[in-house]
Amino acid sequence: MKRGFMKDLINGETVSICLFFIGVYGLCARRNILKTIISMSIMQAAIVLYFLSSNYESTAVPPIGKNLASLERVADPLPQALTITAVVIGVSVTAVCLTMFVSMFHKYGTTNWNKVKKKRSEID
Amino acid sequence: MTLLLYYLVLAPITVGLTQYIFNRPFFKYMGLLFQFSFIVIAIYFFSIPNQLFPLVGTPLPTGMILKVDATSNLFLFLSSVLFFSLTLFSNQKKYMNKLFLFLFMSLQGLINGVFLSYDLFNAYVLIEVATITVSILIMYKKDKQSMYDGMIYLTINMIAMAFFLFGIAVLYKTTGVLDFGSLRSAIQNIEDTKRLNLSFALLFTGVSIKAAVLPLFSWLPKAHGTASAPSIVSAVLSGVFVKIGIYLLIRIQWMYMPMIDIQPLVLAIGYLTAIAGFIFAISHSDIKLILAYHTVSQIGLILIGIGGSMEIHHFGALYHVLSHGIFKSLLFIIAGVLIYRYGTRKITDMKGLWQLSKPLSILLVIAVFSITGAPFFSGGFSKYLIGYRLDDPLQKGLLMLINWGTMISFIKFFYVIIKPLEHSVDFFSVRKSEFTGMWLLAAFCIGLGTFGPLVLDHIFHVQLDYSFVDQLTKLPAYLINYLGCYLVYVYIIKDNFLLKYIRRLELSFNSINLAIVTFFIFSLVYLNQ
Repeated sequence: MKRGFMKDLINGETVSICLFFIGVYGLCARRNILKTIISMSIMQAAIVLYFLSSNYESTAVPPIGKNLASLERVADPLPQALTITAVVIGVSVTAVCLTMFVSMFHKYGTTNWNKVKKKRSEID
Repeated sequence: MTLLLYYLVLAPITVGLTQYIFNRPFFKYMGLLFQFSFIVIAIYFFSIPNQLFPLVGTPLPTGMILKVDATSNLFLFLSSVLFFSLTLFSNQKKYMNKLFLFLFMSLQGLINGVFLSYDLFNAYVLIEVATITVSILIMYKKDKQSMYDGMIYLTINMIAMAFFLFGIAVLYKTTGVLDFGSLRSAIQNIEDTKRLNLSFALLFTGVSIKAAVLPLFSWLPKAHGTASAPSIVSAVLSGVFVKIGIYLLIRIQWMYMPMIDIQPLVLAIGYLTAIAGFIFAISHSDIKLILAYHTVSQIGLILIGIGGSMEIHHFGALYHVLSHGIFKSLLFIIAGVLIYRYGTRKITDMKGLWQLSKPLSILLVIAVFSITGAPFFSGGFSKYLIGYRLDDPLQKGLLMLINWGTMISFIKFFYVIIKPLEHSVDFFSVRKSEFTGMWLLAAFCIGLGTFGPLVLDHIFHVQLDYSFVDQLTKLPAYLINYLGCYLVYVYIIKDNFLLKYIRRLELSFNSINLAIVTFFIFSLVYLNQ
């Protein structure tokens, strides 16, 4: 009984919600800028997992081919299309963030948000 | 017709790219011509509202469409006017090289795309790309402080969009559609409204960060008031880019409307944001930061209109989006000119503008009158609409307080004009092209105020009995209020020790994220009540 309950609980959706908030925790609790970027990637991954596992049916057939009307259950192709776009955007955003981080590191010489903020306020 | 909408999104990007590849001065003028054509199209769209244009052959809800209605067209018009006058303003500037022009024009196409797209996911993609463009523009001069400003801007906005995308995912699971119209009808068919709460809270948090409301605005002054970006970037950010959050909020509220009603929450957040914004603005003496904090305050005012009980308040909010976009851009580019000429960002060190340049002083006065809500100026008319026939004395009082706060924080701008010059400044003359851009914006400030009822009728088809004489009768009250504010400023606020503490208040990156989480949990709890 207990085992079945756990099996129901651990599915794509709950895992992705947990992952998303692990990412949010990383943003709130870590001062390292690199870890911030990692946390953002975790959030992105969580969203991708959520998209793919929502409306998932184990018996559904991929929507490939011509005679789809004769099939009983066809998987929803839209989340996959959206996910591909989200993945591409996520990767490019991470790349831009990392590039900015590198040039910021050259100027400030630290990976700590608070130290950067302190040095920034000294300039004004 | 469909071609016109493609044109609005694709033409700026194509023109920018052509300029980048061929890099001839001739293309700069071509760009201006294109910019002008966008204004003409936006004006034309006002006469044919509510048009849907398919992007692919498949019909909704599986297809994709672009849509223009009165609301989106207002934003479109604002972006076209701003980009045209700002390009005109900076046509001869050194920083207007091929890369800058490419980024600037692409940003326009992306912003137009956000306002025209009719589904949440398209809007998400376009905003994400526009955010990257903006953060490159913020870091454009690559100096030390702009790195931090750009980084904070990029990360916080990415987090906002992560919340937004997660909201889309949850909403898609519940309803199975993504475009605004189908979502609205699908949401109305859901019996258990509790199922909508999570998606709404996520989307609401995302757009609230984008719109920079009370606990979540810490990224805005840094990004909008950054020293390193050219002033036209600040003008675009404050003028139209921050309004994307407002636009999405209006759309989301419309989608969920009968099932989830958050008017009281929006109203409360609006008042708090407006008050916090002007308090910070009063405490600062950096000219760009004053204007950036004022953007926060005016966003609050727009939210007050959106949360208002009558339909006219809602139109007032939209009208304020338009007028704020224009006068704030004018203020930002004047600030840019002043910073460059005086060689300082401190407003207390700028003096004797009337002696140095009379036209610039007049432009500054027009902009300040607009933002403080003087009759015959755009801000005055939109503020009149937002506070139209308010009965609640508390709301009336708070609106008055916000207006006084705005007046007080702009007294420093009058000092710039009036105070005598102590030592000579190398104040070389302002270029003709710069003046043309500024005068155009100033003309809009006056036109949108003096002919306000006519414009309102043309855009939203609302007749309002607010004549020339009515505006004239408001003038003495305005002047008396300003005199009162001046006295309060001189005897109470100026040199107050509290200002020093307020000025130092600044959230660190982790605290901003904590604020985001708190805001999210608060809105979830509020919805589950």
